[in-house]
Amino acid sequence: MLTEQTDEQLLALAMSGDEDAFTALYRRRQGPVYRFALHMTGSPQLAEEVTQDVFIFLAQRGKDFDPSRAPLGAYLFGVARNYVRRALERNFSETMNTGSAEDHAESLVAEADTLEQMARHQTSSAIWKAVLSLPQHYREVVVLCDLQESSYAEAASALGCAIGTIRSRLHRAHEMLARKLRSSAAVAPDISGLTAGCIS
Amino acid sequence: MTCREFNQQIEALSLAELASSADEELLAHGHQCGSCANWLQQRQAMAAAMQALRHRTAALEAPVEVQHAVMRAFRQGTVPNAPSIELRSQPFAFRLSRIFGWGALASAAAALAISVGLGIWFWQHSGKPASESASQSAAVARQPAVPSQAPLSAKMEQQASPETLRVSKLSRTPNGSGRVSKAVVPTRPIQSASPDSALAQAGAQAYVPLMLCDPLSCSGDEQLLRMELPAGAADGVRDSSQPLMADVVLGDDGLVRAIRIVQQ
Repeated sequence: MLTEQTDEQLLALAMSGDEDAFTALYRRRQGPVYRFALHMTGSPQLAEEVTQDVFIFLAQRGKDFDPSRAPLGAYLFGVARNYVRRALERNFSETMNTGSAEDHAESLVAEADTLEQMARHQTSSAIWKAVLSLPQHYREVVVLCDLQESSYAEAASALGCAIGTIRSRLHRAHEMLARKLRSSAAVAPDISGLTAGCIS
Repeated sequence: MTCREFNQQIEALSLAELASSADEELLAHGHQCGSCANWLQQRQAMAAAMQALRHRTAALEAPVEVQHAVMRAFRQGTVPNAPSIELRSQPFAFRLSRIFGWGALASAAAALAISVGLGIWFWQHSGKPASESASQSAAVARQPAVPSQAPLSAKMEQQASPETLRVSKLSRTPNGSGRVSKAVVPTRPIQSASPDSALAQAGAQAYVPLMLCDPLSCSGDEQLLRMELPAGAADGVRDSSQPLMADVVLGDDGLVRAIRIVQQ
């Protein structure tokens, strides 16, 4: 049964031309990749595009994957991270053509607002906005470790850095998030419920 | 537990672990220290918010259209050399590196073309004098003042052309060698010797050998120089108050083989 195969075994089968194996691998891994891209960009459209690019990349270059270096999940997150950066750069350029640089974060937040149908809870929306406003290298570790529940080692493999770097970035990102939530609560009383614990 | 130990333990925990942490030591320190308790409360609230966001987005997946597109690409991708898909699947940095790679090749080709062009230009503009001097050297070799095999007396009869004289004077001077025989006072070479007079007077007088060997046959590398001797260098020959002109046979070792006074 393909469902009992590991990711690496499925990939090996897929690279030998087994379409069913690739389908099984896609179904197993597309969710985390899509959510990673969604949490990183705040845009379902960009997340779909990134997911598609990641698995097309895997179909084309899956033979280059080395299981001794990292698990396939971390490898896919690493590929997704690169496509997310590219998508955000392109999106940023498009935003620059129509508005100021300060509008960029606001536009992503606005896209996140449209996602409230999926995440209607105000606390989720507030924390998401705060995450989206983080610098990319801090956002990556927050999304991987806090939202994707990856271990520090997996995050380090995906981002290509040391575990200590992940730890320090995460600590710094939490500090920034707490500060952002405090300032958001000051101008938006409706999320003060979330930040009640953050404002002491 | 001190605040420092508290912070170290907190930092070791992820946000999810922190939200569900029931570490008695941490809690006990939180009850004792107000600032650490506030900090812990902030992080736990943040962890709860993250957890809520995670739960609300846990079921989100890519639409079916994405799967169709990926499977289409997989079917095409299993066929070797699917250019459009390969290009799309390449990361931006890789594409950029390819652009820079082509740029480097183009730069190298341009540099090579410019170098060749400059080389040709310099060869065309500086090659002519070089070829002239080469032809002069060849002429000297063909009509040397002192050919290697023929006796110098015969060479003196032939006498070098004005060009030969000029070249030989410029190429070798007694002053340059520093080993000029004491029999001849080194003086400045004549820069504007009349070719006709040199030809006319060459051979008119016999050379006086200054060395033990036969100066006219001991070597093939002699040079003929016309020099101006200082006044008084040849007393008795003519008016000592006037400088004398002399032809000097100069060996390749810088020593003077023979000399003759030229009547002017």
